[in-house]
Amino acid sequence: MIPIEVEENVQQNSVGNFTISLFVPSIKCAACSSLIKKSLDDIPGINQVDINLGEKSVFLDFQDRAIIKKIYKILDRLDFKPIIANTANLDNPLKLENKSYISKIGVAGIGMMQVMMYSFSGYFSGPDGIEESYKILFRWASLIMTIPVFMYSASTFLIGAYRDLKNIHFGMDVPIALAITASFLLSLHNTLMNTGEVYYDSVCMFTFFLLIGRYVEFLSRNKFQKSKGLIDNLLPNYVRVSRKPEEFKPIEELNIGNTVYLQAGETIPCDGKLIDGISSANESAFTGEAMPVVKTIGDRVLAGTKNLENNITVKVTKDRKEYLINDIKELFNKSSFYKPSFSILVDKIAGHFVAIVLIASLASCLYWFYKGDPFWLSIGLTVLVVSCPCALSLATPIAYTVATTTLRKNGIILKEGTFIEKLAQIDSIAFDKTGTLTKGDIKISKTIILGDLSINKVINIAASLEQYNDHPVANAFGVGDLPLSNYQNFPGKGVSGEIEGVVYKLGIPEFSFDNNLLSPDLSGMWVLLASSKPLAWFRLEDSIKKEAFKTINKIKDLGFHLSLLTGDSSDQGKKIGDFLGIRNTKTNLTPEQKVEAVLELQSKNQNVLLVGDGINDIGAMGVSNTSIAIKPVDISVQSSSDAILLGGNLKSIVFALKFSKKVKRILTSNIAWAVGYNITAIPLAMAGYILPWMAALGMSLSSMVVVFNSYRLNSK
Amino acid sequence: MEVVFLLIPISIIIIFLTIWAFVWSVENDQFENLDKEAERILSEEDR
Repeated sequence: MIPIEVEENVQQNSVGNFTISLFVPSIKCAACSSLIKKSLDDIPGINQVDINLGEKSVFLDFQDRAIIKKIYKILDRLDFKPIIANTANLDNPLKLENKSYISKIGVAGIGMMQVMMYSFSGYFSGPDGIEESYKILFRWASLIMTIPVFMYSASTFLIGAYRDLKNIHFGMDVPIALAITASFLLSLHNTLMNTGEVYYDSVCMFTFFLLIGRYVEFLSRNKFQKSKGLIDNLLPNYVRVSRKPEEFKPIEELNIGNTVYLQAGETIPCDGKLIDGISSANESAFTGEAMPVVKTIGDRVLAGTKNLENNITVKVTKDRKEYLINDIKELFNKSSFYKPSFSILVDKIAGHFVAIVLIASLASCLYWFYKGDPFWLSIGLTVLVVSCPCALSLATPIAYTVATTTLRKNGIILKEGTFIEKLAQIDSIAFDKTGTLTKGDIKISKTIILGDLSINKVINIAASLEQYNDHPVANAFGVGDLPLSNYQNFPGKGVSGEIEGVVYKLGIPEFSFDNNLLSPDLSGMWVLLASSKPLAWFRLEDSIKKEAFKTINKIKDLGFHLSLLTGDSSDQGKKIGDFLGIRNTKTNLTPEQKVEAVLELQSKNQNVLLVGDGINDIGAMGVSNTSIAIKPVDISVQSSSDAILLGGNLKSIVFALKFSKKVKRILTSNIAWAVGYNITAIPLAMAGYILPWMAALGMSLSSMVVVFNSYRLNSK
Repeated sequence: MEVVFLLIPISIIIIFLTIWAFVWSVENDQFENLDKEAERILSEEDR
């Protein structure tokens, strides 16, 4: 069955043929593309098959609208399921900009080579110079070659500077445009009047090298914009809301409570709960976990992940705006604007930088003019060009954009831009236990009946009480079917609510009944269900995450101080702490005591990272220097932590700890480079040691150094 | 050396033709998919 959106996007061109551009994410290599091309070329009525391996897109031109069905079927059968490429539209402005850059660079390059040839005649003519008539000829020839470079190629800078000046803002285009315009106008004047020097070769070279610098910057920005576009295009445009007969509706009309039917291989369009079927989903885009995650009834599924195995039915549980995928998108937008505190100073300097450069340039012009140096103007212009505010202002945003993307690939989503910076300064890590170090997959290992209710009845009551609770403990009781009212959650203690007219409490004994009731034994964690009298004990057991031991040891090797803070009253917390070798283990903590425990660590001059997952950690997250929430189900936990670990895999924390140091290193080196370059280059230029072409090259290279240095964060 | 007065203008004309050809090729997507030709050898038919 061909999705409607594919059919809808077939367009008719002016010659009466039909075209469509499909995005095929599974194209990986040249062999894939040749296979697709071969198979599609055989269909009668196909005019053109064009495959772009880099963009994973297939452009098709065919004679009859109906052929699209055949095309889709073949692609599907070959396992190259196409997604409709809205990117085609989204990319267009970028594509145009790309083309315009290539043209401008080409024109500037050709012009530069030619003008250099003309001016070389003057350079190599010996002490007597060349004959006046030839000199005039070469000047005019250079002028003619420079006009397209100045008017067309340099327009990027001229327009940018004009825009800046109109808004009374001194951006980086101002000194560049000033240098180019001044040297061009002065050369023009000298050519017309036949006096002085000409600087056409400098005009062309400035433009050429600076454009290349700009283009590299554009490409790197473009690359990240594309991955943003990819997120937008991850979700299908239409969703199946009925299976028999098959019915679709636009994704925009999907609301909370709607039911969506999915087939194997389809992308899940919403955040929701699986209500029928069993399948697995590929959540690697979110968690970095390459293995598919098994999804059974009741499990949470995420918009943008792929349903891999079977037909499933999903109930929408969240509003479109609250899908996790939108958080990720937000993050992408935000992270590029974020500036860490130690670069704010640099930014302030960069703000005044242009003004300083203008003054320095003017001063050197005046000085050398007074000294009688014939190159006074070219020295002044060189100062303008050699200074590089770009490297300064690129140093942090580029590194941060790359870093955020790398973290996301490893399953960590930033909520707070300062997270990476803070993480780099951490020296103490406090873990919550349940759901963080343990799987949070809690089972009832023993039930002791105290009252006269049957075992099934008490479990049903407990399950019903816990039905709105997101704490991992709640899952231990399964699904209850009794109506619940007056529900209240007491983090760290338990829950209470009214069922069939009776008020029940479930939680630690002090909470649900009174202090004097002792749990049956000290092994494991016991919770008590009580109304006006105690009804039942449940012993809950949780198993430790399989990667926990290794991870904790690795973190210890890195030299971090570790603590375990748990609300669990049993000796299990202690046991797990001992097993993992965490010396500072505190059990039986209320949320308030957790806060105090963190404050205590901080009073010993430690910067604390809190890793937790539940409502009882929110307070502690607030006071800790930074925090990671592990796979939180609760929105308030999500918003109080600085970052979210989506897969729940502790290994990512080790990665993040090391990575944050690397980010800091690269940021520091970026800034050091930018500052160092300017401090060296500007005085040298003022002293007249730098030739104009070196200045243009130096400025572009210094921006590129920053861009490429930041790309080192892209590796795993 | 008077011939330079003829050759330089001719060179300018040639350069402008070159620029025109270059811009034309960019506008006509000649720089769109630079890997395409390299991959073409993998397809079996001659096209």
